[in-house]
Amino acid sequence: MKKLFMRADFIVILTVIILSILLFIPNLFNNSTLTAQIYVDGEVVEEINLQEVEKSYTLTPKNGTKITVEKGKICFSDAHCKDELCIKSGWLSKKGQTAACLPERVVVSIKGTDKTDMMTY
Amino acid sequence: MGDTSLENTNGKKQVNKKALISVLVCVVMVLGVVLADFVKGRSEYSSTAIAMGTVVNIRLFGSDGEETAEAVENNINETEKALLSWREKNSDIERINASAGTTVSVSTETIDVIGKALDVSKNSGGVFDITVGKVTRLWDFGGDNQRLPSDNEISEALESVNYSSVKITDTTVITAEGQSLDLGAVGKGAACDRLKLLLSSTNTESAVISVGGSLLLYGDRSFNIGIVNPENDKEAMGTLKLSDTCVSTSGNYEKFFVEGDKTYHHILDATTGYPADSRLSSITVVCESGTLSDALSTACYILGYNDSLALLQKYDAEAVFVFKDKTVRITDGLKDDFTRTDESFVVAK
Amino acid sequence: MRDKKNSQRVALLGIMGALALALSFLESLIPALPGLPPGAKPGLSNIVTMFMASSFSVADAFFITVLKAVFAGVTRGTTAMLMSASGGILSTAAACVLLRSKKINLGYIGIGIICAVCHNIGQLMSACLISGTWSLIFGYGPLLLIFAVATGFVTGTMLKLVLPALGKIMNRL
Repeated sequence: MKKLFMRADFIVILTVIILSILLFIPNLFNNSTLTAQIYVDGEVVEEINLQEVEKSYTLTPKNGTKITVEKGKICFSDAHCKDELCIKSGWLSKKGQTAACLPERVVVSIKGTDKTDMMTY
Repeated sequence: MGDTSLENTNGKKQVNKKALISVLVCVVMVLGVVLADFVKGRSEYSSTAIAMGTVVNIRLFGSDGEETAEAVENNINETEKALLSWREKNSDIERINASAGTTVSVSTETIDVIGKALDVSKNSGGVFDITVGKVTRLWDFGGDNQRLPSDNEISEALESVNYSSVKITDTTVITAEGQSLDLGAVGKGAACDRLKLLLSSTNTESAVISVGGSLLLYGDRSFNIGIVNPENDKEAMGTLKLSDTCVSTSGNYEKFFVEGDKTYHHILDATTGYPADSRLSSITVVCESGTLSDALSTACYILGYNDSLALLQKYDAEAVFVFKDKTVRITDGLKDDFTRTDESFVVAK
Repeated sequence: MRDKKNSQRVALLGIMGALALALSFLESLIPALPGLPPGAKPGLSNIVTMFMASSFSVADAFFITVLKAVFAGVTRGTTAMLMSASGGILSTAAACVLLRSKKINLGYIGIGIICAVCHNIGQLMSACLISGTWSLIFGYGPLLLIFAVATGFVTGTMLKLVLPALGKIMNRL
């Protein structure tokens, strides 16, 4: 019968602990991917990693509709629609948040979900 | 004798081992098939579309995601254009309104929706009423002519509001002269009901689809549904763990305008013609039928907490009530499925 | 005499199987711990599979593993069956290799830890397949591995304690 504990066992424990630390490292970087998607007429025309944005800038995915992008957030800044609900939605900065300019058929949404699979409103 | 018994038992040992191994192989094969089926049912296809004048979020689990998503979008458009929109020329509802006072033949699907909506109209004591068309058109919430109508205009329009004047058969509808049907309050839920039928003819194992905030949950998979915080209309204040059902929310934050020092929201009390005076900021109803969940969420918002309970029970529906003072009340069937995510809301025991 | 030994072996298989299922069931009563994926349990029933791997045949050890998986499937559903099967097969395979080889210089604790780690890796793979994303490896991986060290320590130690007694029973057969 084998012994309860041998020198090699230390190596096993050490290896597992090191492996566990290695798997943990990506977690420190992971939270910094916030991907925003811009849809025009139902198709994705632009994907932006909001955390990698250094300087704020503006996009015009469709004539008359302006979208402003800053580090960690995105919003509608101008639209030709009458109600301007898209602009009133304000800044989107969390996963799953969406704003839409219905008359222009432009949708901005941040990929992924925090704790919810779908929102009811 | 010793020899033969050795031979026998050796043979037996072989058979035992073989039996075990073959059982093992069979079970592994079965597990393999189950795994393949499982993985197939978990591949997700998501897309966002615009239909029925709103944002549609589609999450499908199964195969043929792309084709099914397109079929979903077409189906919703069809629901709007062919059946329910009072704005679309030649839709069922438009034809009924154009020939108010005479019998009109419409599709059985439209009859089904009208039937359910009439039922809720009756059981809600008329605060929810599908014949409220003339009044809603005065206010025109979200439209180009959105405004605050005068008291006279409203009382005049109210005269045509009377759900009991609507008679339906299996294939026909007749409304009273001058009456106008508006199914806007149940359109998205009805779209969800039609989508459920559509999905059953596809290779979709499960799905969650949002038609402007009215949800269809299809299949065995359970989903975490977020109830939007009425204060910011963006983040969730709590989640409901649900499967295979429909969810609708009515809230005073969706469509409204401010005039003078008053805020006018779009949920009209059909007995007064004015936005309902409610202690609720929103109510989320869970019911097997989307048409019913839509209708009930509107009716119960107007009725308020106490008067809603019996109505909900009648349709085997459950609800989460969010009050203006940020307290939350939940019907018994849903209490265990709700998780608060925003600490500023208080769930009553 | 061989017949008697055979049938007693089969009977012991049955008892071990029942023991494994009982331990599995008891573990399933433990509530899900925060930070660990739902369904992560100490894996005490692994003591049985490790014992099987060391004192019975490889086929017998896997038989118990499959039995556990089917039991999980029948009582707790397909997800549970998948998790049990993947973790169990990997862990039992490791146990068979480590416990039956005289050349490997590991103590029971080291072997217990490796088996527990294999068990958790198998389960993690299943969880990733089921939820459709590999990110779970980074989400749950670190904690699961540390957990496995603790679990493996316990099962390895218990195995060492239990083996002499069971060995006596085996010899008497």
